[in-house]
Amino acid sequence: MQRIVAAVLLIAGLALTLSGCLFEPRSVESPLAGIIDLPFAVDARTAWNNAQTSLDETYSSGWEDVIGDNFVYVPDSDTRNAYPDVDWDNWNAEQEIEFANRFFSNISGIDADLFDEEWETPDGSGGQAEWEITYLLEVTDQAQSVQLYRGRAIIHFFLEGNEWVVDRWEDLHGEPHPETQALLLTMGGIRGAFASK
Amino acid sequence: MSRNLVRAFLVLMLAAPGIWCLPSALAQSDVDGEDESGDAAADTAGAYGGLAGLLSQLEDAEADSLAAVAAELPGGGPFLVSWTREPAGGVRAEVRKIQYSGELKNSFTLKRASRITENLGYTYETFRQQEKSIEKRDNTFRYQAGQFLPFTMSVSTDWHWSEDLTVNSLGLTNLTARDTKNGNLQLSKQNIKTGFLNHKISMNARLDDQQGESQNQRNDSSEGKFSGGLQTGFEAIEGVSIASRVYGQTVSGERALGQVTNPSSASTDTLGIGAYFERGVLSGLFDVSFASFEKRYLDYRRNANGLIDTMDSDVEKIVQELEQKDAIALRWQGYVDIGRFHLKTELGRKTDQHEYLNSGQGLKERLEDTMKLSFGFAVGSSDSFSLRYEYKWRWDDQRLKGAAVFRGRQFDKTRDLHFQWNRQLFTNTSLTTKLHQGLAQSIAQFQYNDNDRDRLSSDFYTQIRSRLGEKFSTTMTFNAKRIEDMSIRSARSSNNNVKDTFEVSPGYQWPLSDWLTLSQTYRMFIQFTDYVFSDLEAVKKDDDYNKRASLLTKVGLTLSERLSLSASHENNAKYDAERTMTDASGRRFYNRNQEQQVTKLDLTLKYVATKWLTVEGATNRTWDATDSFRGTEVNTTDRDGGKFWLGCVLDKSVGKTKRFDVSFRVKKYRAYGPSVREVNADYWDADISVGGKF
Repeated sequence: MQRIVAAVLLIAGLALTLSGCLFEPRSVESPLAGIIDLPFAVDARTAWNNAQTSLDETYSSGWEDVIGDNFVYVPDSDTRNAYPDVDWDNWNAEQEIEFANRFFSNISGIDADLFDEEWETPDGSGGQAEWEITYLLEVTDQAQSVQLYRGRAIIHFFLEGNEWVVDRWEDLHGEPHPETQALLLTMGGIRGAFASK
Repeated sequence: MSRNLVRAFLVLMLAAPGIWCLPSALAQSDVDGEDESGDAAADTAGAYGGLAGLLSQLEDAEADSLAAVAAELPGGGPFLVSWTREPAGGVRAEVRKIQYSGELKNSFTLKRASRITENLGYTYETFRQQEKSIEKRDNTFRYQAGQFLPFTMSVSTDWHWSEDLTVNSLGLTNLTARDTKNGNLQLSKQNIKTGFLNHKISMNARLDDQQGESQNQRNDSSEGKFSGGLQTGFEAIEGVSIASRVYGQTVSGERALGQVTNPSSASTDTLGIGAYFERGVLSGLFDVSFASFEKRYLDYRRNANGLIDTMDSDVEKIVQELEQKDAIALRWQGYVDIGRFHLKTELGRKTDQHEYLNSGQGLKERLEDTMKLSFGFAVGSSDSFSLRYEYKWRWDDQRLKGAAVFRGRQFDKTRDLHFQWNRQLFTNTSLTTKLHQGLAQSIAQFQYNDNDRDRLSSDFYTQIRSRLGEKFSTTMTFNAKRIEDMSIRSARSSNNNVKDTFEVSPGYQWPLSDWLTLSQTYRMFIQFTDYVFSDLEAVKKDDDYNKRASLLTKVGLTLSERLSLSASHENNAKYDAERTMTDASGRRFYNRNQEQQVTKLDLTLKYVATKWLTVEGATNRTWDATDSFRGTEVNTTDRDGGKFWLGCVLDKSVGKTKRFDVSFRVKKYRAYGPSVREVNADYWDADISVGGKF
């Protein structure tokens, strides 16, 4: 009897899962806008370009594709001090994707320059590359208030499966406002604000 | 709360170690314990010579000294049972930074199980890539009263000082400094009986003082906290207990931010009740709790997302904030265990309202429902099944400060089903099969944004493991995965795509002899991306595929008890292509736009010189050749990189109860190639520490 129950469960489980009828996505509206150009990341530069495009378009699927399965975020000291209750030591891909979904859903727009200054951006070889860059984000919230974030960071890229992804983002410190020279927060400040909500 | 009062309290707390240590001058050591450790050290002295002998002499000297001043206190037994000191110091160097550290731990075990511990710590970090340094000083003191009092009491003080200096790319220095001190008194008493009720009472008094600076802004606070809690429980019927808890906390003090100083306060209360059962095959709990707080404090003006407003220069930057929150949580957990059948259910609901007076966040509301069902059973001696269903449904809504209406709920729904089947096919062959399907949905009520999307993932994984003979083992893995990424709204749906990934991976492990092992793993991935609307004029996105195959070969050689070598070789081939056309019969034609060959060779050597000294070294080399095709044009890139390191590990301990430890791990790295940054090209990785316990 037990074997019959087991066989029935096994066949039912296989049939349900493989048929894809367990969960059904909603129907989709036909596109009215052009495609967001996110080419397959055949190298680190394409992956980082895709990250910038995903920010500019507040497109969370694009951001999710750039983030590797073993992603780690390391905040700068000011971020750690400003958000001591956030579990920074366990900020992984799941936290990053959840943050991106909430961030992109709660703002009006982003103007991103992830190539603001390229300190060291060597081509990868053997499936790895490490960059040091300064990035600049201009974020407009739902109340149309604009905030700038500028940080210097070390970005590590990794060839995961067939595609290049970011598997480590370490913010070193905030950089000054390009015009006023007032010290700005890194993107860690945004992550902290959404994580502590 | 007056700052002087805080300081007086802290001075008293910091002086406490001295007060508590005073009786130790009249105390007597545990002579039996000292005799034992003395013997051990004496034995070690014979084996290791001078250092152990020195430690042995130190033990004897301490025993004599304590015995000389020993004095029995009224009530019998020595007041000071033992005193342990653990000094340690070290240096750690790595690619990013160098850290110097020192530490001293003192532990006093007193009569009636009371205990004092005090830790002093210091670290200094300097960064190789940045103009940055971090200095930290810490002191913690704990006193636990043990059985001296009819209730549990502990007193603690903490002092943490840190200074972080960072120079940015314009040469401007940013100082982040913090100096925090706190004193804490905890009292609790459990197993208080009144009739059939059982109570636990706890009380906590705490003083906090902080002086900080960040981004040229002062951030100081001085607060006193008092909290108390009562837990009451009883057994309603056999195997069923009911418990309740009430907790309250009040905080009062002042905070200074920038040039502004204002009073701060907070009040928090929690009420909870739960039922816990364990009857026969059933066990679990049901729990409900209510919590609320109200906080008044100085804060930076924040925007709708809670981010500090650094831009608008014409508004007041620092505001007196009032923050209020009310939350309710319900939780159910149930377990059924009948022989080889296991069922676990978890249900939960959390809901809260969170409001700010001045922050642009305004009023936020949230709700989260979760469900987890796990079901597992075994059939016969060769099959076992498990099924798990997880469901999470949550939403949050927000009424921005100054707005009349809520923006609309942001829903996030996830559902996942996991199925696993393990079967022993033959005596030495087993099969594991896993199925998973999950759907994640984002939904914006009233379409307040265009980010609605569904992501459906389906996985099929199966692996056969087989052992042929006593040594040779082999695995065969197959994995198929499909991700359907669907944006719902017309503004986003152009990029909708389906990704299919297939992986086949056979491998074997073959210990040819005691000194030679061989293993090989072959992996082949192929990923197809189909854009749902690729045929539309507005989209114009070609479908693509990406293939990658790798063969990894590992050889291990154990040449002697001391010397071992390992080598690995990996060959990778990667092809990226885009669809060019589909013929009338539906056949798809692709054009390769990139081919890449990567070869890696690693060699590792390990030599165990003595029981406590090991010498290690490794070298790896990578060749990377890429051909990119654009029409008839071919762009070829050849890259060559490598890394070499040599190092040693020394771990040495002398003594047993009184111990001296040295740990020395040093590696020298040299690297070259296009992926190597200047800082990674030549550096030391070292971890050297010296410590002891006596």
